[in-house]
Amino acid sequence: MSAESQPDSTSAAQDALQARLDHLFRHHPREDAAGNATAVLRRYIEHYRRQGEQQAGGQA
Amino acid sequence: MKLALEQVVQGIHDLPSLPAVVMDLLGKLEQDDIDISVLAKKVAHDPALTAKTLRLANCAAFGLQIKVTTIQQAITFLGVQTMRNLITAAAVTGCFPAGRCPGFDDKAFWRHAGASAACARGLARRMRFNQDVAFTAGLLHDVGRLALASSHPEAYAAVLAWRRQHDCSLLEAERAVLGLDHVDAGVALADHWNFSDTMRQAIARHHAPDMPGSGFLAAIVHVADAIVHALDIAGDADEQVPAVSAVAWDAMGLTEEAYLHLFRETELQFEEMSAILVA
Repeated sequence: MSAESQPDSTSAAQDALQARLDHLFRHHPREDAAGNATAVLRRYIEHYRRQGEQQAGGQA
Repeated sequence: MKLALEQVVQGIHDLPSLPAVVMDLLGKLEQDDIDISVLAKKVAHDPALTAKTLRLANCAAFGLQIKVTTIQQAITFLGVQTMRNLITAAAVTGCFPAGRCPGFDDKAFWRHAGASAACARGLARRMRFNQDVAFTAGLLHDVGRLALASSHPEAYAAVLAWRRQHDCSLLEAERAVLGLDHVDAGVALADHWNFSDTMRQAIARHHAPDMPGSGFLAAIVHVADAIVHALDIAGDADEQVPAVSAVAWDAMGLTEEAYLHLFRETELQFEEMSAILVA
């Protein structure tokens, strides 16, 4: 993979991740209001996936 | 295509029965007065059960430094509590005929069940709760789905079609099509198999942990179930995360860092375990 193509692929991966999370949590509001445990879970999963992407990117 | 609870119970009675040793263990899940040598002998009489139990015991998740080759040896290294839960897991997963219900993905079911077991066990460890009981509750929380799909495959295929069409939760689809849900079926199965009260309650309340008297195990299973759906482990394109109870979530009292570790642990452990369970 060339250096120029990396930002594009990273952005595509992030878009795909976002789309999948939107699909998984499609029946729940995104707002992280007090007491909204589903929104907190979504935020943690999002952080976890981003962390995984960063680690994979760092190893590439 | 409504089903009466009596039809569900009859369907459950028609399923292959569990080995006597497992029926005995299910009723005594939280008791410690089990004779190890008798247990080992009873299990050893069933070669298929022995083989699957030993494969589970040798999973990396259980952290053994050596490979165990007999039930007695496994009990020595893992303890009675862990072993009786592994024996139960091995027996229950072999009890349901696969591939009978069109649209029901048995592998996806066991992936979700195996991951829920691993996640519930991880939560229990952090909460200083009984890890082995949490593992079994995580594994069996949705067993009512399997009972319905095995005993009433055509009716359950209609549920799955209804769910796809309406993009709703499985509980909603089951209630709309069958007039009852997998929780009702799970409780009926728990009664038939003589599950302990704690296990029965975890199955009964894993979608309603806020109800009075639900117990902490139901809260653990509820949170583990939601996490596994959110981790997208089953491999279902139509996957959806259920609403998480704030009461159950707060009861866990974990930090974000602890949850991120738990997610990683669950993903690392479930694959090997699920492959054995579904074999």
